[in-house]
Amino acid sequence: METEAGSDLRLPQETGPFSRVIKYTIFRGLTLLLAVMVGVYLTIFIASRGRIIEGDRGDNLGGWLGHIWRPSGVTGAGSAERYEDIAAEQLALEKAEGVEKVWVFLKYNFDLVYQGMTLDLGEVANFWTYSGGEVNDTVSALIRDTLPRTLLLFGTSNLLLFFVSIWLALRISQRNHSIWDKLVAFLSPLSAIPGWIYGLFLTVIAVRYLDFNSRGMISSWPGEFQIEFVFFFVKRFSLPILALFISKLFQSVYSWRTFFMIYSAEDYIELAQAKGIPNRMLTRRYLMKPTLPAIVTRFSMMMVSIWQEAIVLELFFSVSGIGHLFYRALEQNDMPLIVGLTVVFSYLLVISVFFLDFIYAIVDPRVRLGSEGRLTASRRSIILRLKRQISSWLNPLNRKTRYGVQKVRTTFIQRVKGIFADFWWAVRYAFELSWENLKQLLRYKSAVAGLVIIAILVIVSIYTVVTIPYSQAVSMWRGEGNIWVDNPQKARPAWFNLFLKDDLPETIVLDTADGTAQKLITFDDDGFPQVDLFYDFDYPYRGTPQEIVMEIIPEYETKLPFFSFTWITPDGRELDLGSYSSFAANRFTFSQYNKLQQGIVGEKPQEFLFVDPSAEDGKAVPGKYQLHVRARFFEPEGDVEAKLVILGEVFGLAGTDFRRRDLTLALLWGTPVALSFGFLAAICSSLLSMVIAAFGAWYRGWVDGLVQRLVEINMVLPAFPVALMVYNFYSKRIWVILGVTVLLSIFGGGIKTYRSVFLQVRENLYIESAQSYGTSNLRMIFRYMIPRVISVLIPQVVVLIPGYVFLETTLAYLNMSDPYLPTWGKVLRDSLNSGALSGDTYLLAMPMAWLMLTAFGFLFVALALEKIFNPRLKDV
Amino acid sequence: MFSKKSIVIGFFLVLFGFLAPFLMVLKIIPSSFWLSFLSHGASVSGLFLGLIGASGYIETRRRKKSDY
Repeated sequence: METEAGSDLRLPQETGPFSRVIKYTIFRGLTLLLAVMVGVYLTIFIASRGRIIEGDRGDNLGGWLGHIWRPSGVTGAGSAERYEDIAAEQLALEKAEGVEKVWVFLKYNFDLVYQGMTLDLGEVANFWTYSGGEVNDTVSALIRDTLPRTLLLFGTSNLLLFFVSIWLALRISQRNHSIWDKLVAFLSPLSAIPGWIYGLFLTVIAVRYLDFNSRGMISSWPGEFQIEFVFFFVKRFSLPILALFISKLFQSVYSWRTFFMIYSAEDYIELAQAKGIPNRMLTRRYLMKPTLPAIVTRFSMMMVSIWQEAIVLELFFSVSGIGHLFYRALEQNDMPLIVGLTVVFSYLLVISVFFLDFIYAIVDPRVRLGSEGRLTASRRSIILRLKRQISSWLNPLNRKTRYGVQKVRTTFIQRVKGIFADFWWAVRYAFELSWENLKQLLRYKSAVAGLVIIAILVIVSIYTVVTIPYSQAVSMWRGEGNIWVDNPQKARPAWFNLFLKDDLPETIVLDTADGTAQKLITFDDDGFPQVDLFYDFDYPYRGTPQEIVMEIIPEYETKLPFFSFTWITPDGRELDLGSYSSFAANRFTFSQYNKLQQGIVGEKPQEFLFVDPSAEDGKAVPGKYQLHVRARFFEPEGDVEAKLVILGEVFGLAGTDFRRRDLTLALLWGTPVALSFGFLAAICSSLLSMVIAAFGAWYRGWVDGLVQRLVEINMVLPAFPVALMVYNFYSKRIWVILGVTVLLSIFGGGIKTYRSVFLQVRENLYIESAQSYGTSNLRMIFRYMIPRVISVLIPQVVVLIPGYVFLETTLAYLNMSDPYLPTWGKVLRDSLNSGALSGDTYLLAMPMAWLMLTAFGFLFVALALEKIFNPRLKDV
Repeated sequence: MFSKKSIVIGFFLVLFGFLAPFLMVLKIIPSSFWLSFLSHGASVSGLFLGLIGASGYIETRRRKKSDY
């Protein structure tokens, strides 16, 4: 069969369905195995700090890794012989030359990868578990014992997802635009929120209203079956299973529904229907087949993202699965265990992808291996093409296009200028397109709400960065200069009082230095000064303050002054708080100063000082109070400055944390950090993915193949655990975190989406005509192909932003974020660690509210953009 | 038929993906890597099959309704 290009093409060979599936499955299995090997090698490379390429390792991977990270203690099986092995093998490597050296080096690396893949990593370096009468002290045994708990968590949530998704989908199908339909469409953006955030919500509700807390490690797992354990187990796993289920539910139902709605409106579907093809056949052969690749890809990405959340979810709920074990191993620097767990994560991802591909191969008869089913080039045409290419390399002046048109010779600078011109044109085009679509956005109420939210966040970010510079924010967050010392601890926000019948007390500060307290200096008969300090304040509250603090700074030469304290209540009671000649520190709290306790009756000074003992309600007496401090000096020169701080229960816009820090700072500074991290990561990863996909789709051949292989490797590489390794052992600076995040995201699912669009764009006639008059490859990509994908890129970027915002929060919760910046995630982490769930849940409310606001703002805009760029979704 | 068959097969696969780890956690059956990986694969593929089958079933019903 001849084509216009003159190449010979051959028809495909027919094969049976069974052999087709088997061949395809074997091929995919081998491909994925290769991807796992590369992924394991990369993991060991990171774990060994690159020393794997030096070949200086011993006979045992586990022992070697353990030694790298804990040189003081050699661990792992075979460690006694390790040094001898290192010396012998290094000698062998040094003696080897040329090809033999390469062979020896490859053998070393293959041995390491093989040990990693078979989990032959020796003993656990720093801890072990005891389960069922067995001590699990090897990496393999520990993981084997722990893995089923994680799989139970995910398996149960999948079972729940199975039933509810199908039920919900059936309800939606009964009527278009029903209440269920709209509810699913409205709630689908919630799937961008990670599972542990849902877990946080559920735990707060469970603890506050149901007195139920499923967080807490199960101290020991039974060695044998006990029926009581089943009930205990159900109680412990209910909330994490529910959290995982909710995070995936709406996305699953919405995605399936959307894909089918898009394709069901295609012309060929209507034609097939008009021809009288039965509905079942129509659905299976004409509707499902084109949607299956997209659904498989989307489902694979969902499975990958679920495993990213395993670590955080298990950590939050203290479920002792492999995710929790991974985090503990990071804390303990147990590198053999970290590598083993990363390999297991990788296997789980591979199995997900493999089983999905297997089912896909069964369902879609078009899926074939290699040249079957496609027209292939004959040997003659391949030789002709090679000759043309070689001639082009040898005679650069005589280069011709595919259509035989002489190519124009350009200099390097001209080519660079051309690339920048095309790139700038594409950027201008994108902006013009965005501006046009922004006008359309304003027609959607949800998009307007989203834009308002985003505008508020941007304004807050700019205001924060301008008024509180970075260095100042870091200094304040660290508490340098004791700036938070006059704040109450774990105070609620001041606006909390709007919802209470009796207002909670606010902090009152009275200082002689600024004139809010009165100072009267008199002299006794000996001429020595006597200083009277009067602290008058109005206390209109019924609740007692959190604490009373006094800061006294006396000025004297040799003899300590003598202090006496008198407290006067609104009802006229004068309480003598005692007299003292010295203080252990200049600053003391009434509840902790032993000497002051002598004058105080009862448990808490604030109750003694504010509550009328004769009253039955036990509440503070509102009115005007006075603290009178008299300082008698025994020298001619003497003075005193003193400050009284009555710490309240409310403070500022966002309250305070356990370190008395004003949480407003973290909320304000968390905004630019979250937005910039989310925006930069989304833009960089999307742009790079798009450009790489464009190159792959344009050049095809080995370039496209390489891109596909890198995507597969990235899909089976557990990105989150690998990223945590890098953060924990190399750097936690925000730019490193951003860089690693972008690097691990480039070859994600986005490339497949862009590639499929580029492959369609490539077939357009204008592309062929541009080629025919000699347009360079780079110009074709940047001027003619990439602008056509802007409509896919923009909604993709907007959807990704909240995902990266949540990623930054998750990393902060895991203590893997920049140690200096105050962020929302840090507030959540500190609040959870200081017992927020057991009473101070308001500490979680503000950062959660900001997070959700950010997520909803971007997701509302993204939903509207999807409808604008894909008009078929307007009915969705 | 394909749709309903998919849903049924998917259900049993997902059920296996739940039961196998459950029994391993309760120590009724010994833990092993192969069973763990197999149960995970079954869970994922069962969920996928079930949702595909349900979507196909829904689309068929929707078209049937639009025919009338």
